[in-house]
Amino acid sequence: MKRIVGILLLCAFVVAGFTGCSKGSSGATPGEGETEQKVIVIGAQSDLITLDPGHMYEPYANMISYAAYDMLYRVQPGTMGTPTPSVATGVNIDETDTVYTFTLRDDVVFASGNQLTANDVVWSINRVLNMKDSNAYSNVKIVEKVEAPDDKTVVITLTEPDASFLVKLTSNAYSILDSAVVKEHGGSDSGNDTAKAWLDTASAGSGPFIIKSWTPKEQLVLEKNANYWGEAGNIDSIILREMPSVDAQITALQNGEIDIALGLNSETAKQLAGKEGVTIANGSTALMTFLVMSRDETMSKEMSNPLVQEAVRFALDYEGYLTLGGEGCTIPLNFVQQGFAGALTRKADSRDLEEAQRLMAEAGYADGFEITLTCANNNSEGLEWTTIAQKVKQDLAEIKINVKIETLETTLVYEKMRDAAMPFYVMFWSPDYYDINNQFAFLPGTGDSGTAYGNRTKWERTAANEKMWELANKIQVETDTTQRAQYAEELQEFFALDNPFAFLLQHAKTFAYNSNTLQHVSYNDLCKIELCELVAK
Amino acid sequence: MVRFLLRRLALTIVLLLGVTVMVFLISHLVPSNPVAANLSQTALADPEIVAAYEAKWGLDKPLSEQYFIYITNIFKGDFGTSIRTGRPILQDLKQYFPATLELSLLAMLIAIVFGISFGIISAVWQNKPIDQLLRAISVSGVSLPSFWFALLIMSVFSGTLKWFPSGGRINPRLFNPTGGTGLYLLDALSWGDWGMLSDSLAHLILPALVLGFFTMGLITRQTRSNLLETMSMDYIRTARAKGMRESRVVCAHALNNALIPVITVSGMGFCNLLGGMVFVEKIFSWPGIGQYAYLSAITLDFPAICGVSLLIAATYVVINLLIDILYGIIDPRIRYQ
Repeated sequence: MKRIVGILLLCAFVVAGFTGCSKGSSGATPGEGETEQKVIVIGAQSDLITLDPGHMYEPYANMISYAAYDMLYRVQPGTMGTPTPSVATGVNIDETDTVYTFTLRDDVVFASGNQLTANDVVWSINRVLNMKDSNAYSNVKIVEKVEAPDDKTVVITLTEPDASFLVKLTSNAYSILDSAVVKEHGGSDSGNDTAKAWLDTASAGSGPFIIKSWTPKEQLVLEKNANYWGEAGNIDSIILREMPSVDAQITALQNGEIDIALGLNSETAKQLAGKEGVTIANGSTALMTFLVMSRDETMSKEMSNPLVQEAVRFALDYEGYLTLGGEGCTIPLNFVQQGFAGALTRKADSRDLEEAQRLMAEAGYADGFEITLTCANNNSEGLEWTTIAQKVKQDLAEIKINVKIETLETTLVYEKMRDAAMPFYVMFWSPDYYDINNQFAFLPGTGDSGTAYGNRTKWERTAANEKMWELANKIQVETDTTQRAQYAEELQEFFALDNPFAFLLQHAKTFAYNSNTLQHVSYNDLCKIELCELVAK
Repeated sequence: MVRFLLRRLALTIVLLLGVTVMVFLISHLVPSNPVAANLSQTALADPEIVAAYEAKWGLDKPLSEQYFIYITNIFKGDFGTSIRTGRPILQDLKQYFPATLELSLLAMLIAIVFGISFGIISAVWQNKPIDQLLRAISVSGVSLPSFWFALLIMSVFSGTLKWFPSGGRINPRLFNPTGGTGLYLLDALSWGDWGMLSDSLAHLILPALVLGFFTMGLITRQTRSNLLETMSMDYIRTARAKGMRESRVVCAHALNNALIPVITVSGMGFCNLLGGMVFVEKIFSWPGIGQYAYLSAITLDFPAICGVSLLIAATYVVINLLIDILYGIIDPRIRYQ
């Protein structure tokens, strides 16, 4: 036996010696004579699949791109997508509302030490414009051309006026890359870019941090950018540690293994209530959960009836959904989230069963009917869709609609949604950019020129609802915020009269952090935890 | 023996080809597609983006053509690129498999060492209190749901007692291993980094215990029943009659014969570990192949699904081959033609 153990150990040493002799396990702990490093660990179940700003679109993507890159405009901390100048000092918009001229700061340098110039901005935008298979492309396709008349001026011409363009500029798709460095690694602004593999493990930006390493589904390490041009924080390193289990995050936060637990919801956060040194916080998100009721009579004659759809909206117990959603949730009146121009909310006590029953009778269904409600095995900020479906079933039983719940895999539901093949289903929506313009996907319109949900619900654009598009077209280009908000309110009120949706919740994000090690932990939905704003104690 | 191994190798290639056909067909029978699973809702509604995406990943080609391209590339050593991660499949497997292998090996070590020991103790002290206790433990092993057991053990040993970390492979504040084999214990040994060795071992113990618990239960029960059967045979009685020490009777004579079915169970147990990996990896934040397989499946990432299936199938084949060889070593009467 001793001989066998001896041989095994020898083999282990020989194999290890051959394979790993040149590498190491250097960590973040200081050596002798070094000052103590401030290292912050965030536990989360992120959905990161790439760190290339030209390909990123996942909800956690901007958390990283905001730390490692700069854009012409960034989101003002603590707001829902309000753009504020960053690398640009300001913008001049011409009378056609399609030509945006930006003047750049002259003190911005990349982590490499290279000066950030207008050519880098032009190159970065053109790079994404030539990635048509990328999700990020949907945010830049509004750009017709981008030019750099000189080192400090960028001129962007749009294909059409777009009042949300400055908001779109805050997304990772417009991250400014150090073109000289990225070109060395296969970057191209004219198609066939091959820099993704390199950008997945490093960064070429001018943000306060650099990407030191990334092991997908394990951990991502950000390190302070020694060449940062702005006011640097006091954190030396941030580690995003993948923790798919919420229970593990809660235990790790209590044990001091992590400083922020990002994957909580209002229910799981209760386990941390009153714990010494733990602060529970929440922030608004633009994530909405809603019911979709198709207008396609061939699938359900009953449910496609606009009167029945109105009855459903009256029959829902909104207070109950608020309770399910937890602290910080709100109920949007319809398709515009709180934080966007002119957003309206629904009163929690707006359930009116008598009106719902009257509408059912008027539609000819006083005795009710049976309908299948499809929901994916998915959740919105931890609230399972099956739980929502159960509540809908219970609510609609009051107006004699017998709901049969069908639970399917998420991808199957997406595919059926795309094919407009479900009469009644639960769905969520998180915007690609934080502006009401992104929400026009809910307006009526079918066919090639239709909208995402117009096609999914077979909701036709007609003379009766054309007013929605008249208002939407005004909102799309109106740059005066007060006027835009007025149009938005009018649009929502008109939309509320007839639409194939029932909007249930706008969710809040719940998280917890170690208040003994951190202060200034703020959240905005675009970049989740604002890493640049974090301050270590 | 050489002819036997060559024949097994040829059969393995046929088997793996069959696996690719099956996985490819089954994956494409799902009434969805990677476009719906991987594009955002806005991009999904944009025909230009959908068309570019389908063209990039060859989804606009007929299924037979997609398979032909895939299998041709495999013979060139190219397992394709993951639709979800955009990285080469081999790179992904190389990253995730060592974590799973390290966890599985320690789990198997725990299962075999404790399983056989408990089985022997149970058989030798049949129907004594210690036998009852070990039987209860082995029944728990095979009947407790692994996700529940994992949460329980994490809550007690990490949450309450704080003896072990809550998850992950290593303390990220202290270590950031790069290069090496990806097997942290082995890497730490080769680098002579004892701090990393103890830290990675501390991270391994709880998930390995949970994962090994089920197989340990199986091995305990199998060892006990086989040993009891063997102990009642004539040659054991003869050995005792010769005045041989009881420990030698059990370990040198009875155990050898009782171990053959145990080896079969252990081999199958190892393969089962891979199946139970998804829950354990999720709960203990273990960045292994189980999580990768799960995410690939729900996003219909065909190349990744095929890659993982080939890897798992190859693991099954290798384990079965090892079992066959071990049979011959333990029982010299077994010979292969």
